[in-house]
Amino acid sequence: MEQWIQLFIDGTTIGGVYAVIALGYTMVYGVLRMINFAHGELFMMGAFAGFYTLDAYQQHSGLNDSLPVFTIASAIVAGMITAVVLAVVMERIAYRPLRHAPRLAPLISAIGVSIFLRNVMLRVTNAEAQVYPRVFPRGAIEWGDVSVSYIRIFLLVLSVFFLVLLWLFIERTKMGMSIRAVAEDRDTAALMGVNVDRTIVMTFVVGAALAGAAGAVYGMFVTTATAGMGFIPGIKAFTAAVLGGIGSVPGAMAGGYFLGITESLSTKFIGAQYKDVVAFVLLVLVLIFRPWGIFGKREDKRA
Amino acid sequence: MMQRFEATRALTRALDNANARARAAFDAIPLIRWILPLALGVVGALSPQWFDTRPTYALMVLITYLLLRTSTNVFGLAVLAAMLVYLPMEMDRFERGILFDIALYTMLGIGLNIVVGYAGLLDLGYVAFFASGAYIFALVVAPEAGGGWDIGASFWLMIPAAMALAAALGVALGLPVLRLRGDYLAIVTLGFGEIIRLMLNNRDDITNGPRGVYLIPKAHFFDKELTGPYELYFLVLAGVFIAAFAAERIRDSRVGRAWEAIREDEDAASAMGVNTTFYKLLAFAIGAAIGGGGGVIYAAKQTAIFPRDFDLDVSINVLALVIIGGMGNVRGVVLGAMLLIGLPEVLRDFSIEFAFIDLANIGADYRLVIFGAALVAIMVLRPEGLLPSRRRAAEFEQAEMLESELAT
Amino acid sequence: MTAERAYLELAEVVSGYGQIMAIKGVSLRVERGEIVALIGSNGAGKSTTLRTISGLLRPRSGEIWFEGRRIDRAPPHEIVARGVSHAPEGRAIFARMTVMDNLRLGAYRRSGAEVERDIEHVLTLFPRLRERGRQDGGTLSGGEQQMLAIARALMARPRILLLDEPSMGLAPVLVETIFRTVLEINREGTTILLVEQNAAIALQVAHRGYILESGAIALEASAAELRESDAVRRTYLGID
Ligand SMILES: Nc1ncnc2c1ncn2[C@@H]1O[C@H](COP(=O)(O)OP(=O)(O)OP(=O)(O)O)[C@@H](O)[C@H]1O
Ligand SMILES: [Mg+2]
Repeated sequence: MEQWIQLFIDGTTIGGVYAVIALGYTMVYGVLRMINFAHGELFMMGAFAGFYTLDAYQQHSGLNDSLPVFTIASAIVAGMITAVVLAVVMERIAYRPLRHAPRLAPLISAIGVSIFLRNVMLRVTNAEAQVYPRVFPRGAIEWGDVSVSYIRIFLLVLSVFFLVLLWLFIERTKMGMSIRAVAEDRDTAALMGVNVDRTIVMTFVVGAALAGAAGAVYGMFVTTATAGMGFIPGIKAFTAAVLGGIGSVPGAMAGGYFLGITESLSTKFIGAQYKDVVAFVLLVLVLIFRPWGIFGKREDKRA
Repeated sequence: MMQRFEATRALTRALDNANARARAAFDAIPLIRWILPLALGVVGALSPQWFDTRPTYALMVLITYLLLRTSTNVFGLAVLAAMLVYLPMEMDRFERGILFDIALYTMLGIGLNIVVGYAGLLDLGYVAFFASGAYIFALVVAPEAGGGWDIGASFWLMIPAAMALAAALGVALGLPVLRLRGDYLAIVTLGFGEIIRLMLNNRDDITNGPRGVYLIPKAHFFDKELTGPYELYFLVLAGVFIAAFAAERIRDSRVGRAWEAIREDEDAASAMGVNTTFYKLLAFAIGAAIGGGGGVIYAAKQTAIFPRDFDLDVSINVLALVIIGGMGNVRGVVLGAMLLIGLPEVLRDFSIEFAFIDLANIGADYRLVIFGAALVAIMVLRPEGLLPSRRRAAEFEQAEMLESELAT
Repeated sequence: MTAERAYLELAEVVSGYGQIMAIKGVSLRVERGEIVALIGSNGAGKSTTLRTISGLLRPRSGEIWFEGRRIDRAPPHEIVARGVSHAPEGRAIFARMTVMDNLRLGAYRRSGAEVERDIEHVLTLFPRLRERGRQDGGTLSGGEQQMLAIARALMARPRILLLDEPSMGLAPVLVETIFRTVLEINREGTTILLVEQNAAIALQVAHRGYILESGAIALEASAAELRESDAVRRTYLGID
């Protein structure tokens, strides 16, 4: 039993990260019907922004608090801001001019952005992993055989916090309503007076903010930042978005946790080296048999 | 009444046939048309005794591009044969490597273009077929000491065998995804590609895992040992020609028209009686076979292959070169491969040294940065690709005009 | 400017899709407070005219004036902000949003307590919608969706309302209800440009009408005159 609880908690921790990143994929797909291949790189840039912030603190004053709350918060905010700025720029330069181009053009453009960002960071870091300063106290909460480190608890709580925040934004704010409207029918949304261009930018901004925050926190969790770190979480988050039915916000959240837990279980029962295989097999199976997602309702047969 | 109907039909058919034959004759010309400029471009770029600096390559690509668009040079074939044979003799090992890669990726591009450009099936997992070709070959011919199975079949036998197996894999992967369209198909195929790579890595009881397969024996052409990129370059060149020729012929056949119908509107095609299942699988199979053939040659050249050689980047590169070149035609693929595969390598030697500015390593250090930015720039400036097939260009113009009317 | 502009005026507007010119030089005028009917057979270009006015299509040439200002280069959301509200053909309800959210979207450019009061108001116009408030738009019946589309367009407090075939696919009783409401809305001060297949009923409620044929205005007259005209009777009213 305790073993199960442990696996479940480990799975939800990483699943929360997937869920937060997945929202960006799903929201952009919702409004543009486009897979933003560079989304994983926003996550990566967030991790670097977080790293440089913490590093600057360490150089200046050292990090001798037992739990430097303000420092951690500013690293996360730095991650969010960096990702948001990049997202706005990439939307303007690489995606908006292609809004009416053949379908594959924005895909390739996004791949270009992804290659660009990854290699900029490879140069900047000289292809070396940057090691995060330790900001979280070691140690864990123990409960029988179940042990949950403090950073995991932080990750768990924070992901839930962001998910709730996003849900409120989408469901309860005017901007959120316009995002939903544009996702459903761009022309009719415009007839309601929604500024479609601005709404699309806003969608990128929100998705990027979440990815940037996730990057910074994930960096603290794995204690490194590398130029290539966006790839795997990016694809996993993407898988999560698909599991939940791409375009669906609650679906992306559920998909993230589901994938996290599945991975955690498969690490235990199939073997750690198969956890990525399991994720991809899941992706393929869902798309073949339930293209509207595990949790989604069958809304149309456009698959 | 009935008779008149029959007569009209017969006439239409006759006209169709004549038309098709005329088209086939005309379309043979592009084969010649791109050959000379390609040769020129490659010569210019890669012959150190003619040009000192690699940036000339960029210029050459530009010239090639202009020639590809307009020229219909009949001397092409002869000049080409001479050029393509002479060229690598003048090259050092590094340059031959680039030339080999360009040719190899051209071959892969031709294969993927059948799937994406002709049949309109977006495939992000093309590496699966490349990998399977390479691994089937390597495992069969490599000794146990190199992680192989030590069966020891001949290289020449393995090429068709690996192509057939890759085609079978194409059908096997294609079958479950027949219903899927667009982005969903792209994602599933991406998933397949990654699964294959991860399995190559994990099932080390079969594939020797991350240690790869090595000690792949040299192939022989009669008594001559095919040692490196130089000899194998000719092989891949032959592959390019065969694939290009086959691709253009198939495109202009009944099969090609069925693909076109499926690409334009699958439901309408199937309503008109096109067996969409069969033709989609056929596209997957032919594309996969070409990819598999490329894999065999690649493995033969490398003499050691590893799962990490077959990651998503390969699929992305091949797709990108097809799209950048301009989907749906072989000339586009050639240009795409020159740009996408050649340029990053050539950029290595690019440097800026001017007065107090010293960016001696800008090319080597930033080539992939530049590459990423270039992908974006090309797509934004020419979203239909640099050399779209004429038909595609017309379609695109139509769509663009339509869209420009829409203010949102 | 010396030229007297009508409240809404289209001058030689050419518009369409790609190479297809769906309207080829349409000129029409709508005065403040009027109900003007735009009648024509399938494919005549009626919807295209409305889509061009509301900014979804950009005219190839010609001018569109509303309240003395040119609007033919403005994006749709700005045109909405100036008081033009368009209930498009085929309803275009947001199927995954509740009826209430659909109505709130209609009032997207406005905010505050007013909006809630207006919701109250449109719900008295269409009491059926009140019972369906929490339901998703997609679960409404065709007639209810049509009501919702009109109600939603009203939520913008338009000064001019562009209605595209409000009677399409509705039972005769419902058609009557809808048109009674249209008259009521007009009496409250909203100018209306009404596109209809059902010429009989359109010419009953309208003050004036235009006949659109293959993308050009063929005839303009008062509704009464149009009802009496032989050509209109034959072609659009189905009476010999
Ligand atoms: N999206 C489009 N793309 C291309 N052509 C279109 C498009 N929409 C309409 N058309 C064409 O423009 C012409 C006018 O269409 P429009 O929708 O304005 O007709 P309408 O008068 O509203 O007809 P109906 O009474 O059937 O609604 C038609 O010939 C139609 O085929
Ligand atoms: Mg219409």
